[in-house]
Amino acid sequence: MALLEIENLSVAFPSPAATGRAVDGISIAISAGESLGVVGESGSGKSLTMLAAMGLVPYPGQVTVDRLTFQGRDLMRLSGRERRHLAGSRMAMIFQDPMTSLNPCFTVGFQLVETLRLHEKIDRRAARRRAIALLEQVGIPAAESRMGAFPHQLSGGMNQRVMIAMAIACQPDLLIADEPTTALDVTVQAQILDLLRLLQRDRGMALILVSHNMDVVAETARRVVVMYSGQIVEERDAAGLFGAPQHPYTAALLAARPQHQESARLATIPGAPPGIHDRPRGCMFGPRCIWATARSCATQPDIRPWMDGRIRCHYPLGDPDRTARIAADGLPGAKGIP
Amino acid sequence: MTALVVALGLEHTYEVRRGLFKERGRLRAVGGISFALGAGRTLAVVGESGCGKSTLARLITLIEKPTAGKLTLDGVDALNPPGSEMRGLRRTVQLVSQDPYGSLNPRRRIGAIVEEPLAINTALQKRARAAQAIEMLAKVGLGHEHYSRYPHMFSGGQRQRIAIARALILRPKLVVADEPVSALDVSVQAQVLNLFMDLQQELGLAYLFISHDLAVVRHIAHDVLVMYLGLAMEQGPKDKIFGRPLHPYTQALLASTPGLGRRSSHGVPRGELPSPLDPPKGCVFSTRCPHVSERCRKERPPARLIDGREVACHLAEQFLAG
Repeated sequence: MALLEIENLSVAFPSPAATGRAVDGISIAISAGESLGVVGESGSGKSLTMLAAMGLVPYPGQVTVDRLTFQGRDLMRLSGRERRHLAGSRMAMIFQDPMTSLNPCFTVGFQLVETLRLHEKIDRRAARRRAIALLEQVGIPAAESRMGAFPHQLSGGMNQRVMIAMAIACQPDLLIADEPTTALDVTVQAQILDLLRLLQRDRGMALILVSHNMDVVAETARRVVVMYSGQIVEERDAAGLFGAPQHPYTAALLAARPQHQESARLATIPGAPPGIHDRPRGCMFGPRCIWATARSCATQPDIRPWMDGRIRCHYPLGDPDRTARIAADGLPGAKGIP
Repeated sequence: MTALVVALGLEHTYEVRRGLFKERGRLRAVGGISFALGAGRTLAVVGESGCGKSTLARLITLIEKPTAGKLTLDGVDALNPPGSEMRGLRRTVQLVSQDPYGSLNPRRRIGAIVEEPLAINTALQKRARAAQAIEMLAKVGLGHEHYSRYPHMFSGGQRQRIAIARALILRPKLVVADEPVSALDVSVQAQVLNLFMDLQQELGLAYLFISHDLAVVRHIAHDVLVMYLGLAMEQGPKDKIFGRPLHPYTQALLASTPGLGRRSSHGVPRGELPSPLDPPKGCVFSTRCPHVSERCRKERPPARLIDGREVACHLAEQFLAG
């Protein structure tokens, strides 16, 4: 049984003109102890998917889902109180910007102790001891004296460590890290990624790492989901996905990374991702895809099993007769494109 | 022929209040940086936040005056310009900043934003200014239909193109770009980097390119300057520095960058940047350096020319030998 199961999740933001779906039919499952990477550009819906799993979608977002279970419990049927208890203890999340996620008015020690005492029945002293141990575990030097520090007195890397300490305080079974290192310097980023990997391995904790940085995900996750315009376009084993991407978007995204190019000009993806209110009729990536055909513009490909994972494309790159099928389906603009 | 930009021992110190009765602290944001940059070349400044790279950008763009050192722009002494040359000097240097959301006035149309430097610096009439703005927008890949739109109607990548158009409209010789692509997504980042390189070829621009992303720097730079706590750790041609970094800090940065390979936990430096108000006595990197020795803690290593680049490390010869 999967630890977290999401089936056909959508998040819509209604507006007087039209209702835009920021997340559009996402299905993800993660087993206990697994590490999953979720990559996508800004606006692809990756963070919102995770917020929906945690029950934190901001107003006026509307969440619809066929099935959302954690350890077999249906999260949509839990009361608010039960769900809040689950979030923070069994499943925890860390956010991108540690400076704004911590309360500036309280010491980090107070905030850690608060988390512990909220979820577990322990007295103040025991909670304080646990908090110090946690700070040591995430690699904060002089942990005892840092308990009395306010967030503004700590650096970004230190604050992110405090956030991680808080998230793992109740030994969660699932940790969702949403761009945990984007606001940090590279040397500190490397330290934080090492720490997350270590925690995942030693505690048997499942980890979902959300990032726009393909290389960060490649280093950390075993299985990778690629998102585009609120949909999953490809899901594969990390080695397979980075070695031989099957979706044209994944391939283009990998090729655009400057560190993997020797030639002077960088490979680019023309255009920009569609906005929430101007999604194309056919394939979401169609307007930017060099392989797009009349069929891509007319009908949206369904997500289907492919190789060791799933793909949402009419013509996966590893398909032996794709060239013939692309030729048969004809160029876009002939019909279908407005 | 002299280089377009020559900086000699540039220093900038801020005075910081630490409390009502405490002595004021002196924060040396830039502590003696020297470099020369020729037309058509790119010098990349890399380092973590707090290393002084943005202060360096403010010095080169003449927004702030250095507390010591010399700066020559296009053959003119930029710190004490003769007579009325200051205005002309400011035209030769333009800035592209990091955040394309914060750098464009949301209440003004794109045309007005791009034209403003012309209105201030030239006597051109409205119609001539508009013609130049549209021409410049075309150069950065935007159409004339974008001329009368507002910034909120554009994506991050397009906004950065607008910021570039505004910087180039006065035909500067040097563009200082402070983290110009770090707020952009990968696919858009590649477009903007290509644009930077195309414009450099077409207009013979010199770039001072400030970035924390070594992967981007490796792509766009000719020369690299690695800064740490306001000091140059290693500087020289890109191939030398990326091919065989001789300073432990450069090595650490490379080892920490995902995707540049050689990633192993032991190359990652411990701890974080020390407070610039109270920098370490000897080598500034000594508190985090994996190869630190007693000498490093006592004696600050001078920059020396080794294997075609300047390195400020006592152990550089050893790294080169083995």
